[in-house]
Amino acid sequence: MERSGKTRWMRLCALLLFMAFSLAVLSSCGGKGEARKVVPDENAAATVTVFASSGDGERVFGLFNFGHAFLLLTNKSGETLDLCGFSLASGESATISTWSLTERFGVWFNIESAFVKQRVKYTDRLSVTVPVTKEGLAKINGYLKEKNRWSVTTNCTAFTLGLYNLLVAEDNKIEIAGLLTPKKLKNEIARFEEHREVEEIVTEGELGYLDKEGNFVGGFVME
Amino acid sequence: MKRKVMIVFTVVFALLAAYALYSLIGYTVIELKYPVLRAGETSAYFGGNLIMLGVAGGVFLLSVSAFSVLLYFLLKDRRKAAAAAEEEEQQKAA
Repeated sequence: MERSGKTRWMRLCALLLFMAFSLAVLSSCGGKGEARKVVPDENAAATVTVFASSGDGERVFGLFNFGHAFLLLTNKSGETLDLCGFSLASGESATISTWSLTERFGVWFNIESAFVKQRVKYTDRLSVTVPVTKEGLAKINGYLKEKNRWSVTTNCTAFTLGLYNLLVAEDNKIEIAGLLTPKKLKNEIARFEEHREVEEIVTEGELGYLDKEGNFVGGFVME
Repeated sequence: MKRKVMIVFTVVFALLAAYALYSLIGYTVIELKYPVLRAGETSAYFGGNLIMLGVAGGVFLLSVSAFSVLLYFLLKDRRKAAAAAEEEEQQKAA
């Protein structure tokens, strides 16, 4: 009786270990597929650079660091773009992503460029630059207002990937299954032949966020 | 068997509490080093570390509570066993 009880415990432990191992293997999957090439567009009104950092360069032993994902939008339309009140003049760039800050859990502009300028940050970042279609650019404000929130499931990667896929042509889209993490996005970026490591991030314009109504609130500085 | 399981869980919760305490200290240090965004009188703090601090704090409280309860019952059982053994010895001596 005692022996069968012990066997049951051992089987249960083995099953739990197997499940944990399977989960770990599944979560690290992705990005091992074929190499991709960016499909160019001569008439692109803008370019979008998708960045992902898995946080490897900043990890403290034993603590979680899930990394960060964000976009760098560069206006090449010859006209000033109005992003929910944030003005992006032609030739200028801005970083966009979602953040969980005490002031606002939602869309923030130019935090990443300020971070890179002032701190050692995203040192393991990978990026790829892709042309933006005019149709995509026309939908950007609607997307920013609709996805102006942050949670574990609607995190920076989900926002970044959603906006990226909205802006680019069908051939350049990225598909990721399951819970979206910066590491998975980084693996997908690595598949592009044109991907770059630790690309420079220079932006113009104010640092700020979109409020609950989806209007830009600027004037922030990083201290 | 029951006692062995209790000892295992006591050790597990003690280790969990120790890790949670390490996390609490670690995330506090990271948050203190993090920048703050300011606009006039408005200050915005990065919430990622604060969320992890909350999680670590919750795990610490729960694991310390579970550890304390298990330790209490283990010591109580030990005292009972010791008292029973003493009584048995006294009966034998009588």
